[in-house]
Amino acid sequence: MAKRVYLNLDLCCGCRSCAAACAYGHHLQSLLGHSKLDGTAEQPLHCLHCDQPACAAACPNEAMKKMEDDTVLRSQFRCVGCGSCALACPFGVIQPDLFKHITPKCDLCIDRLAEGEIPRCVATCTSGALSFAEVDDQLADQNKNLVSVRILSNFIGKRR
Amino acid sequence: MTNDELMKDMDIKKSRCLFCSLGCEVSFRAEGGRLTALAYDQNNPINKGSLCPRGHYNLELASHPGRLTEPQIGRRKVSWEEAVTFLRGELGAFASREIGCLVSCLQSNEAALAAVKMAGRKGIENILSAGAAADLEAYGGSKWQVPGARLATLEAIEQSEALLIVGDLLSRSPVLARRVNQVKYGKRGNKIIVLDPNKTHTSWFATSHLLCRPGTEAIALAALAGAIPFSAAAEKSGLPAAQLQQAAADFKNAASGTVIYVPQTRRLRNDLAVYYAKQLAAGSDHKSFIVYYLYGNTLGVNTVIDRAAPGHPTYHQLLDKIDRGEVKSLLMFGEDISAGHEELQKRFRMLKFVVFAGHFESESPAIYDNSLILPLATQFEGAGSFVTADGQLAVCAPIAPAAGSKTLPEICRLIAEISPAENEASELAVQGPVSQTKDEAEAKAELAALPPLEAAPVKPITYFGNNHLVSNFFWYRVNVNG
Repeated sequence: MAKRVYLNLDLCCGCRSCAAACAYGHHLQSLLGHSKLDGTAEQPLHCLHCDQPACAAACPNEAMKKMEDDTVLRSQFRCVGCGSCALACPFGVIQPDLFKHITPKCDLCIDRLAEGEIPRCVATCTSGALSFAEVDDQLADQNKNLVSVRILSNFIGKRR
Repeated sequence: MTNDELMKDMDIKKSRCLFCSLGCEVSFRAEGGRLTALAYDQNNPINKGSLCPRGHYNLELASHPGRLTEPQIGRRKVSWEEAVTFLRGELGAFASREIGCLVSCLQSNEAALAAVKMAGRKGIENILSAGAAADLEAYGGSKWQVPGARLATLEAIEQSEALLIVGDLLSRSPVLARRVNQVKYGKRGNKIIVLDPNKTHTSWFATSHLLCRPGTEAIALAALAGAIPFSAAAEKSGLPAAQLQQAAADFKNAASGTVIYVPQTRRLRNDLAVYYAKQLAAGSDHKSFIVYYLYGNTLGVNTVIDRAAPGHPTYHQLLDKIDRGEVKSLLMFGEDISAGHEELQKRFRMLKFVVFAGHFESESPAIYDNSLILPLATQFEGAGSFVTADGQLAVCAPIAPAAGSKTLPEICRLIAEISPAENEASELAVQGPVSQTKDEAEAKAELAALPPLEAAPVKPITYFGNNHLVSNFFWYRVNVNG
C-alpha cells in the first residue's frame, strides 16, 4: 500500500508553513489549500490521492492521471484550468487558481520522494500534525485520534 | 535512503533563522556556492527540521534579486571607495554629539560591539539598539532583578507540567507548537494556561484561557504571582477572581512549569509584565520563565550595547534630541524607517545626513534625499554570533558569497580604525542583561496607575510578517491581505 500524508487535526496549529514549504518547493505556486474552520483555526487540505480519483474521471483533457505508484498527478501542459476536477473532487481539496488559470494539485513532492525524502509539508510541519506513512499503519495507529477531540469539543461547546 | 545518509551525500549548509528569537537552524542545499533550496534537516535539536512560514523567507533572503549590491548616494550607484570617502567627509562636518547610531536587533553580537567601538573611537555617545518597541520594553523588564528567577531552556518547556503563555506564542514562534503539544498530550493533568485578551491560535491549545481586558496582562500576572490580591486584579482585568485563583493554584501546584511571555505592542507596560512573570517563576526550583522576542538577536545586541556602552540614551531620548536639533545625522545599521519607526519617520526631514545600511532598498522614498545607502551582508554571508531567547549562543559561519555587500563590523572598520578581540562580543553577550534593582512598592504603584485600554479590533492572525524585511518576500506579499 502506498504512503500518504495524514493530518492529525488535534495537533495542528494552523500556521500554514506546509503551504509555504509547498510554494517554495514548487516555483512559488502552493499546491496546498487551507480551509477556515473558525476565526482562528485553519485546516490544511491535503490531496488524498484516491484509489478511484473523481478528478481524473472528470478531466476533459486527460491532465489528471493515476500513476503506477498510486499517486494522482496533473500534467501542467495538458491542464487548461477548466476547474472540472475541483468540482468533481469529493473532498474539496483542489482549489483552482483563477488568476493564473491553472488548477494546482498536490504531487506528493515526487522529486523528494525519488530521493527517499518525505514531502516538504510533512518535513516542515511545526506541530507534528502531519505524518507520512502507510495508510493501513496510520489507520491502525491513529484509531484513537480519528475523531478530532479539540475541534469537536470546540464546536459542540458553541452549539446552544 | 535515510535522512542521515541523504544529508551526508548532499552539500548542505547550515545557518540560523533570525525572524524570531527562538533561533531555529535553517539548512540549505547548495550547488556551486549558491543556496538553491531548503533542506529540512530533521536531526537538529531545536526545530527538528520544521520551519514556520517566516523561516522559509531565509531562502529568499539568501538569494533575492532585489538585494542591495552596490552602495548608493541617494539614487546614484557608486563604488565602495567613493562611498567611504563621501561618508568620512560628510560625517566630519558634524560634531560627535550631533551623530546618532542605531543598531538593529537583527544584527550579530560582533556587529553591535563593532558599532560600539566605532562610536567610542569617534566620540559618538548616542548609540543604541533599535527594533520592535514592545521587545525593547520587555527587555527593560528582564533586567530587573528577581532572586531565584531562572531562564527556561527548550527542554524545560517540553518537560513542564504547566505552561503559562502570555500572548499569542504560536503566531510569534509556531515551531514551539510541537513542544506545546508535548505538554498538552504528554501527561494527563498537564495544564496550559493562556493569558490573552483575544481568541488566538495559541488559545486553541489552552486548558484554561484567561480572557482579560486588553492591556491588563501585567495586572493579571501580578495577581498570579501573589503581588496583588485577586479581587483587585479581577476588578481591573475583568477576569473572575475565582478563575485567577484557580489558574494561580494550577501553576503553583504543578511539579514543573514555565512562564512564556510574548511581548506585544497592544499591551501596556511589557516591562512590568516580564517582571511579574519572573516573580511567578521564582517561586520554585522547577519553574522558569522565557521571553520570545520579535527580532532574532534582541537579547544579544541589547546586552552588548548595555555592557560596552553604559549610560547610552534610550530610543525616546534620541527622538527628543532630534526634536531639539541636537542630533543632525543618523547611522542606521540594519534598521529601516519604513516599518515600526513611525516616530522616527516623522522626524526624518530634520536630519541632515543619514547612513542606511540594509539588505534591501528602503520602502520610504524620503531616505533617498540625503542618504548614503550601504549594502549589508546577512548572517549567511558574514560570520556572527547571536543569542537566542533561552540565552544560548548561536554561531553562524558564512555559507554564501557576499555579492558586493559587507558585514557591519567591516563597515564600522571603514568608518574608524577598530580592532575588537575575536571572542569579545560573544563573551559579553552570553553574560545576559545587566541586573537592575526594581523597588517592589514602585512597581505596584506603576501597576495601579495603568490606564484602561480600549479594546482594539482583532487583527487577522498572520504568521507571515514580523519586521521591515519581510515585505520583500513572496509568501508575505501573497498572504498579507488574507
